[in-house]
Amino acid sequence: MKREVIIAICCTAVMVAAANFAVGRAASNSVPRQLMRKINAAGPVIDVLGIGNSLMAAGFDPTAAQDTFQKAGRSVIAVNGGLGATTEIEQLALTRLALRKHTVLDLVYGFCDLQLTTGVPLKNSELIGNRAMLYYLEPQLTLRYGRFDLLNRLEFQTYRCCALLRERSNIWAKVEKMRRAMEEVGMPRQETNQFGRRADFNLLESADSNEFARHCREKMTSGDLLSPVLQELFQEAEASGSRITVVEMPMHPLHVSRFYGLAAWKEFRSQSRLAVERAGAVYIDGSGWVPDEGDFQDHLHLARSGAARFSRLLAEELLRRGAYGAPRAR
Amino acid sequence: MLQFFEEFKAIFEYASGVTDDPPPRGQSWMRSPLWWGIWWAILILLIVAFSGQSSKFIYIDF
Repeated sequence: MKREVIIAICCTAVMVAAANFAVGRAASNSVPRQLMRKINAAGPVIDVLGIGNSLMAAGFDPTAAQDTFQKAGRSVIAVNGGLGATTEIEQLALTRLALRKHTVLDLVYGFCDLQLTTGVPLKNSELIGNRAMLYYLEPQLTLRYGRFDLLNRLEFQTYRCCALLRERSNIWAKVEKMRRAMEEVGMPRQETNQFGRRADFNLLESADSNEFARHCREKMTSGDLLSPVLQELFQEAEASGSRITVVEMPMHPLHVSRFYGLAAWKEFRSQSRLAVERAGAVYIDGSGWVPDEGDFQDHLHLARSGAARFSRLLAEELLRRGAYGAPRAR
Repeated sequence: MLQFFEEFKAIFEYASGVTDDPPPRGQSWMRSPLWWGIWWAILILLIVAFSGQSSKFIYIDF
């Protein structure tokens, strides 16, 4: 009997190890890895590097930015390093990746609302989807800034070693897609965009303007205007000789009218601007640059037309700052 | 058809531990430790695939 149990356990272990290998292989083309390859494959000089979450991923059109520079007689390489569903730790890791292998002339950091401030402490269970990159790209940054408790720290180290756990959300994504397909049987099809269900993004906005104003006031009272992770991101970029531009990404006209007219937001924005400028970066308010609802794919993300429009305006703004030297031949 | 469902039921009752008696006929492979190893691995992988998701799981761009 004992021998049979050992054989069964060995058989289980072999099958789980095979599944672990298969999941690891399947994840080799995940979105974060594609982005890392894109950053690595850029030339030795990246003139404009966009960093941020899905707002930047959807909102920055490198081709439109390059064309605008080209018209002004400047040949530039622009790279969109934005990655959906990430926080500043992943963005720091991606920035460091770019700075290690390239000269980055202009780093453009895109954000909205209170995203420059410190988020809540991390939990290992939250590292799913694109955030799973924290397991393999500079995990020491996650341990330094994640504010894990002991249990989560142990979980993080364990998950790092096992593809089946580390890339669990690749499996979940397939299950979720199947679940959604079944949910829609006999029902009207739900509208989706490049990041998921369009309606889901309404959940990411504050419930009402009072709550938004309260959050602004809380952050101002605590003095938490620029998170330590972003401070490091800006310091490292500056130390590498990059110019840093922090840009409020264009927001849906409804979002702008609902939240950005509040006195608490105006005060918070002016304090944020000062904090950013103290950190050596330039602050640009681009929240109202795309006023047409048709240029958005949901309440938060720009559609292609909006991204092209924003990117042209951003390039013009960078050109206006006049920091570009003589045109370089390529 | 009825016999098929009865055998099907017997297999799952044995595999899920409802009974210690294996299905009456033609299922000797279920006594093999290899079968148990494969069955446990399938259960582990099903747990990984279906457990742990939260309602915040809304991004599907991967």
